[in-house]
Amino acid sequence: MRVALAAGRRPRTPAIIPGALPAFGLTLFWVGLLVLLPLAALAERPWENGAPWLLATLTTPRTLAALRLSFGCALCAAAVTTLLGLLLAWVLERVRPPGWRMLDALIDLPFALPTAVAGITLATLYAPTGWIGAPLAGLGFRIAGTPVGIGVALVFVGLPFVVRTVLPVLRDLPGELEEAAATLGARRGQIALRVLLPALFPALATGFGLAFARGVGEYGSVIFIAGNKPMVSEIAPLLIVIRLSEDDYAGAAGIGLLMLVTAALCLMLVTLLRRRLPAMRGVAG
Amino acid sequence: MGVELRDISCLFGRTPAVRDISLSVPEGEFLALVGPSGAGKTTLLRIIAGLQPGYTGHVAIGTRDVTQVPARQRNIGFVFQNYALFRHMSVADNVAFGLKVRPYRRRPNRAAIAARVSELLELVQVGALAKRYPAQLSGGQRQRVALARALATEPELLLLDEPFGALDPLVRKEIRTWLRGLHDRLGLTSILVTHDQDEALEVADRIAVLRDGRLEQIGTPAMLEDAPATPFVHRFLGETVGFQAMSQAGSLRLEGAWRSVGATLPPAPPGAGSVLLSVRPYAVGLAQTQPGQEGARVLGVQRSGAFLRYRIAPSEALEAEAVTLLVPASLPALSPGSLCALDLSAARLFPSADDPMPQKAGRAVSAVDA
Repeated sequence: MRVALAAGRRPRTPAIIPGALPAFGLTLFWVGLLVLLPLAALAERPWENGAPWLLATLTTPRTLAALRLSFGCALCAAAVTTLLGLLLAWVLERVRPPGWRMLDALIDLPFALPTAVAGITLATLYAPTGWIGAPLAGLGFRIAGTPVGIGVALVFVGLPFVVRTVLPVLRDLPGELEEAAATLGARRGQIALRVLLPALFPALATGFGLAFARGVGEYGSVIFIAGNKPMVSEIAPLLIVIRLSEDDYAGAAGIGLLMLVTAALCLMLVTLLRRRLPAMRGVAG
Repeated sequence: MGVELRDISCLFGRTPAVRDISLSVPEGEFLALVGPSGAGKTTLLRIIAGLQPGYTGHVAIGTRDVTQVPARQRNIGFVFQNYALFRHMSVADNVAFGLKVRPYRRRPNRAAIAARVSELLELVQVGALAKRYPAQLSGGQRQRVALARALATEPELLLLDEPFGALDPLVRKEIRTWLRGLHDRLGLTSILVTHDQDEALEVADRIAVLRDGRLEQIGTPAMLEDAPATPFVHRFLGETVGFQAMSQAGSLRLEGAWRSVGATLPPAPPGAGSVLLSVRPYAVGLAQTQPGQEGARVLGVQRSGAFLRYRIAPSEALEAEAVTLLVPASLPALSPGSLCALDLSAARLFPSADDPMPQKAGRAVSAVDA
């Protein structure tokens, strides 16, 4: 007996997880409500006094200095954090000093610590009378109240981002890679530079991006150590708070929008560069 | 260059991974290290490469004692099971690695390195892939690139750790034949680790059978087949069927369930005692019994390619003792239920005490569950 076959019907591919469609819809709804809607409001708010006014507020020397400081410090701090984070991850994974488990747990402390607590602690330590600040002041270095102080705070909060992205990659690197390089005649230094470091680059780039993004917006841990002198150590998020306290919502939103756009561009750049890394060739992601 | 191992032992914690192995590989030989997993074959290979710390004994490559020499100065080529290609380097850069990391005085110039790389890639037949990255290659191609990389520094010795393990069976067969050809053409000395006895039998000049860290036997494939030193060697190199027998006053007699089955047996070994008869399932003769003759019972027959697969037991009641034998399909078939005469004269004899893992008489044992 011949069975009549319906033409043009493909068998339906079953969804990977049960209820994928409602889950997808719900997720989209929440993302829209919690993320996109506020962002849209942020994008809309600054223009209420007109574009020329906005341009004028955003280009005052004080605003420009604050933006330059925030992005500059975040960039420098992310670079330092990436180096330190790599070193820490290396020690934790390869050297395993006594008490490394304790150290491993401590790495996450900045994640858990309320940023204000971190800020006060750092400010106390680095103040000209503090445990670290006093000896440095004796040598003629000032940390608190300068951009360097801001950098110190940003390194502190950014470190776990780098360590936590690099550590698992380092752990999963097959030992055979190093052994293969050794049988081919490479010395320890050459193995580290030519084999291990390039393999870690994508993770380092991600860690850098995360630390940078966190650094640009960091508020609580910075304001105590920064001293907040306009034009010298006043960060952009603080300026937003100041504008808000002056009831200048449009101005605050303007700075916020500018930071958002710049940070998004920076992250996009990192992602693009990361994709161009040799270690990512032929690999999805 | 040849390899000389003397009294090599290696402990993993408290468990010995390699126990007191001495062997020598003459220049130009292709040696296969075989054994079940955990036999210590990879450990032994890593000791030769200098990748395994904490061993005792002496390793010489050529005329040089390399016991204290680190891996990077042993001038060996090592191909890893998972190839261990550098993901962030193109195929060409992978192959060039060994030349680029040389100290400045011994490093060839750029042009010479490029020439050597393309020559090697041609040699392993992946010349068109120089600019690709490892993630863009198939398993067989990665295998060839790993080999080219290992050969780039003109090693005296090529060490291969289960290099075909991750390949599909067809590619596997092709690439191992090709590898053997390459070995001969380049005049290499090669040591291959594999758990696949067929692979070893096909490519190697000599085979070293390892078990529990000990060297069970080393010899040519023909030697191991004709005169296996232990039942384990016999069993590992192919399927076997075992029978217990008793040797007494110059005559041999089957024991246990098979005692009453009249079978043609090989000449008895000197001395008295328990003996294990180990025989390939296709080397047992099966014939229709003469009227009145004792025999074994045919339980079933099944066609299997060019062979007939017989299930034979001492009697219908003793089905648990059944063994499977292979007989060329061209011979006249015996029907199920009939009696048959067994010819076990091709069996190898081992004193029973030789086998620390005594097998039940008349149970077919394949290398896999050994």
